[in-house]
Parts: sequence; structure tokens; C-alpha cells
Amino acid sequence: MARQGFIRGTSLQIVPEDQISALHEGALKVLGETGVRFEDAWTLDFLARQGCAVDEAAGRVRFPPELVEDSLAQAPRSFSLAAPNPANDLELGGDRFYFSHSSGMQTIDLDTLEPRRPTRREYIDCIRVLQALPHLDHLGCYPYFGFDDMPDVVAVPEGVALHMQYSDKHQMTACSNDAELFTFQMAQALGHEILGTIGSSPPLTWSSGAVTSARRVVEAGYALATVDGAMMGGTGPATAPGSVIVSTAEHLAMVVLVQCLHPGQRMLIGHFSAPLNMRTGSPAFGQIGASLSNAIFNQLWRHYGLPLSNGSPGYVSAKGMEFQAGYEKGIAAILSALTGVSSMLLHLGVSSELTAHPVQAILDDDIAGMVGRFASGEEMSQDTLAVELIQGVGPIPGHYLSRPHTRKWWRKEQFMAATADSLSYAEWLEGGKKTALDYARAKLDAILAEPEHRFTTPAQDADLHRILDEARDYFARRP
Amino acid sequence: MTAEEILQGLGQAVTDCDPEAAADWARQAVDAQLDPLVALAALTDSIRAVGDGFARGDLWLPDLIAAAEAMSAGTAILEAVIASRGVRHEGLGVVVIGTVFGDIHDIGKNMVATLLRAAGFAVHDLGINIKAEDFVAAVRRYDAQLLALSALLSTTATEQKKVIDLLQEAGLRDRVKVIVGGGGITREFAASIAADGYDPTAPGAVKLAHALLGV
Repeated sequence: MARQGFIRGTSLQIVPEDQISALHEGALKVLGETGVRFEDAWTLDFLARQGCAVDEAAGRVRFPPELVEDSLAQAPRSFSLAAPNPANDLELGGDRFYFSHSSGMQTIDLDTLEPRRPTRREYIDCIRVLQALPHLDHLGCYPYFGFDDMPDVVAVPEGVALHMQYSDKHQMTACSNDAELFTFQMAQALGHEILGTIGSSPPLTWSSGAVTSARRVVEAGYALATVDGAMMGGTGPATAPGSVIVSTAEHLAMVVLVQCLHPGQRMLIGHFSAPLNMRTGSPAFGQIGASLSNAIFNQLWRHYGLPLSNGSPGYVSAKGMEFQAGYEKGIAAILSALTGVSSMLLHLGVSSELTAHPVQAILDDDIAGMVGRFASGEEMSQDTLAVELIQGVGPIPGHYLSRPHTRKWWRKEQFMAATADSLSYAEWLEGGKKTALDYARAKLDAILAEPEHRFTTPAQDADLHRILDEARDYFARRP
Repeated sequence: MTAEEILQGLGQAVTDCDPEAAADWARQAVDAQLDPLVALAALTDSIRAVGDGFARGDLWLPDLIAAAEAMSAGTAILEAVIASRGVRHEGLGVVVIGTVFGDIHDIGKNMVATLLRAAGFAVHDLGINIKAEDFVAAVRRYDAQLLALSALLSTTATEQKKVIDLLQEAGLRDRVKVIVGGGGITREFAASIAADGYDPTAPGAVKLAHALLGV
């Protein structure tokens, strides 16, 4: 029995259906005429043998439309991802959607809002919080990029090991820099399935490292997540439709490569685009333009039928856990949910990709619950229309509070946020004027006060330590 | 049917929020000639558990109010028997409660009444839209020690002052403590009309009742 997540009961389409083909044809035109750059000889040779026109000197591959269409047809429309605990398995595809988390380079001091390197203890505590949150369905690549004085290059394998030790939810892992040589060993040693993630290099480029990682994911038999990342106005057109065409062309190029390599390979298509902050040159996370891009991308890829994810709801431009962070995440999340994601990053990230904190994840879990409730839509039945009940209660002094119908429905109808203040004004004043942040901090303390649970056996820990030692040695020797 | 089964049925009917079952069990208690005060205690114990669950946040308003309605269905039958025997049921103290004239909101008033019953007070709920003279008559009739006046609207809050003034005129003010509450009421307003107490929450009203009656 997989995780329920939420089932979308209503959806939002912002592109007229008859103009979806314009996006698709735009991507095919770019793929066929401009092409996509690949940096390694193996890929150029492989794609040439599949019928692509390859300019070896420029590293440019041009894709025939029929090959693209055939490859798209090969990719599964839905598939399962096994978690260490079967109750946490994921069913991707269709109208079901899940929440995962973003990450930060560092943690943040809750009082000063200043970033700093997390400790190993804080890293573990963050995973424990992610494990405890009811709407956090699966783990992202890592909460923080490393801890203590660990070299960054081993951050991914170290993080994957801690995920396995302190959570039984499904996890994805970043495949880059040869990290997957060790993370896949860990997953295999423990009998876990893992979602391998690779990223394009916009515009219209796949690095040799990404291709190598994709091949390793396929060989290992894991599902592959491809993630784009065009910054609108920088590495993609300033317009959302144009940027979606760049991102789609990148994904479709990888769909061709992977489906030719292994027909039926499970793929999750990840959109992670945002406008460029025209003052700083960094991604303008949280801007509504990112949601416009997500909405158009989601509509196109729902048309294709492949499971898809959005990354940008998990990243904001706010620097602290305050109003800006709330509206940036809330608006982005509900629009992604309504426009068709199978999964989205939402929890944990505080400020762009720089900081993250479990208190933010606790706040975000309430956003997830609200978004999920709304996107689930409304059941229309005799019971929900309640005409007989309305007739029975009549006007005042009738009321609905004591009716069995109310007790049956109100909990399902309402979502009550754990960190939202719902006291009377007087109680709020007398209770110390607590904010959502205060409630979230209290919940963090409550979660961490619970007994710490390890999900691995001593023998599995020994395997993880052995593989980590190999990873440390490998990266220490590598030039 | 044993006495124990009847008492258990009474309590369960409240837990299940089932007024018909509560009335059925109350009739069985009367037919079996159980002590009506013991049967009433079974209902009170059960509503107290519901009230505790509400205070902890495990149960919610619909549970509380529905359980209270079930309890009322059983209580009406048992109290008729108690009255016919000339026995006075006082519990921790006799309370008259109602929503003032011009105001037909009763959710908050019902919450307070339920939690007072759960705490062991003998509560006479007059209902909504109650005229000042009817409150005074009820205080006299039941020899109440506490009068709880509810008003949601700021426009009807002044009706609470009218009740207190009328109690004074009737020579009853010294015999009964008056607490006021409702959405339109503030601590300052309560003090200005010479009420004995105010609390913004239903659980707070119960604490106030304990404090004012010294029980």
C-alpha cells in the first residue's frame, strides 16, 4: 500500500488546449534544427546510430521528430518507487501528487537569521523532522550540503547514508561528480531503491557527467529524474513559453537517449526554472513568473503523459521564515499542484539554495496540507449537497453543530494547520502572543524529544561505513 | 438488564452522541427503579470525559455539542423523576444560563453549559432570546447560585446590564453570582456592568464558576 499523497480533483489550465501543440512543435523545431549539445564522444556516436544528425566538432545533436515521438511513447506514464518501508512507496503518474523537500547549503540561526555550517547532529535532527512530517512524502537529495568540516565532495554519499539510517521514506539522490558510484552501492547493500537525479546545463546542453550518471542510473535499474534549470532572461528566454520550450527540448533529448538505451526506462521529468533576478543575476525564486513557467511546463508534460515534478516551490528569495517566505511558497505550491505535478519540492528551503531549516519544513508541512486539501477538490453527492439535512435543520433556532453529518464531514472538509494560531484574541494575548514561528519551534522541540529511531541494523551500518570509507578514499585521491 | 448495564448504556449514549439511546437508557433506568441521581451521575461522568477530551484538543465542538444534546435527552427524563420526588439536585452548585434577549446565538452558551455540567454543576439552560425578567424568575425558581449570561452581539451586550439591574431591584443580587461572556463582551465591559466575572473561553468560564462559588 503506497503513500496516499493527494489525488488532484480539480485542475488549472492556463494555455488554451489548441496552443499546446505550438509548444510541442517549438520544442521539436529546436531539437531538429538547432539541436542539443552533448559533450562526450560515446553519446554522439550512440545518438548517431539512433538516426540523429550529429555534428561531432560542435558536439551538436539534431533529433528527427519521429525519433522524439517514438521515444516519448516508450516512457512509462506511471510507475512505482519502492521505499524502505512499503507504506512509504510512491505511485507516480496520473492525478496523484506528493511533496518532497528542497535543500540549503547551510542552516540558519533562528534568532540572528545568519547562515552557518550545520553540525552532524543538526543534519540528523533535520532528517528526523522530515521523517516525522505527515505531508513530506519522500526525501530530496539532501537537507544541507554537508556538515561539520566534511569535504563538500563527499557530502552526497554522507547524506544518503544518514537518510537511510534515520528515515524509511523513499529518497532521491543527486548524481554528479561520481557520487552515485557510492550511493548506488549503499542502496544495493541495503536493498533500497533510489531515484537518481541528473541536471541539464541550460541552454540546450547535457554535460558528459550528466550523461555518465544517467547511464549508471539505467544500468542500476533505478528510476531517473531529469531536472532542467533555465533562468528566464539568462539561460532561457525571458518569456515563460520560450523558456519552457528550451527546458522541454533538453528533457526530450534525454528522453530519446535514455529510451533508446533502455526502452521503458522510468523517468520523472523535473522543471526547476525561475526568472533571473535582474539586479543580482541570481535566480529570482519565489517570483510569480516561476509559477507561470511551471504551469505551462506542467500542462505540456501532462499532455505528453509522463510523471513530472516542480522544484521551484521549495526555494524562495525570502531570507527568513516570515511573510515573504509564506506567500512565495504557498502560491507556488498551489499553482504547481493544480497544474499537474506528480511531486514537488516544498519543505525546508529558507533562502534560495543557500539556507534550510527544519522549522521552515514544519511550517511548509501546513502549506502542503492546505494545498493538498484544496487541490483534492470537492465530492459532489447527495451527502455533500446535504439538501435533506438543510430541510431538517431549517431556519434559526436550527443549527448543524450537533448533527451526525457535521461530525462525519467537518474533519474531512477542513484542514487545520498545526502552526497557525487559532485561539480567540484574548487567549492569544494571554498565551504570550505566539506566532506561527513559535508554534513551529515548539513542534520541532516535540519531534526531537521523541526517542531517536534508527532504521538500519548494525550489519547495514557496517556496510554503509565501509562504502563511505571507500568514497572518502576515492575522493581524496581524485585530482 | 442489570443496573450496571443500564448505567454503562447511559454513559455510552453520551459518548456516541446518540440522544435517542440516551433517552431509552434513561427510561430503562426509571423502569428499573434505579436511583435517578446515580443514573444522572453516569451521564455526568460521560460528559465530563467528553469535556476533558475537548479541553485536551482531542475532541471538537461538534463532539461536545452533540454529546451534550444526548446528555440533555437523558437528563430531561431523570430530572423529572428527581423533581417528582421532591429531591433537589445541586451538584457543585445550581447554575442558570441563557442567551440574552435579542440574541439568538447559542453555540458559545451551549459550550459553557456542557462544560459546567461536565464539571458537576446542576445547570438549567433557559435557551436563547431570554428576557431579563425570565432570567430573574429562573434564579428565584431554582434558587440559583450562579447566573451565566451570554451575548454574541455588541448590540445585545447591554441586555446583560438590564438583567443585573433587575436582579438588584428584585433583591436577588446578593444571592447570586453573575458571569458574562460572548463575542461582544470584554473584561472592561463586564466590570462596567458590575458582573462578578468574565472569561473569553468556555473552559475559563468553568474555572470562574469554581472560583466564585468556592467549590
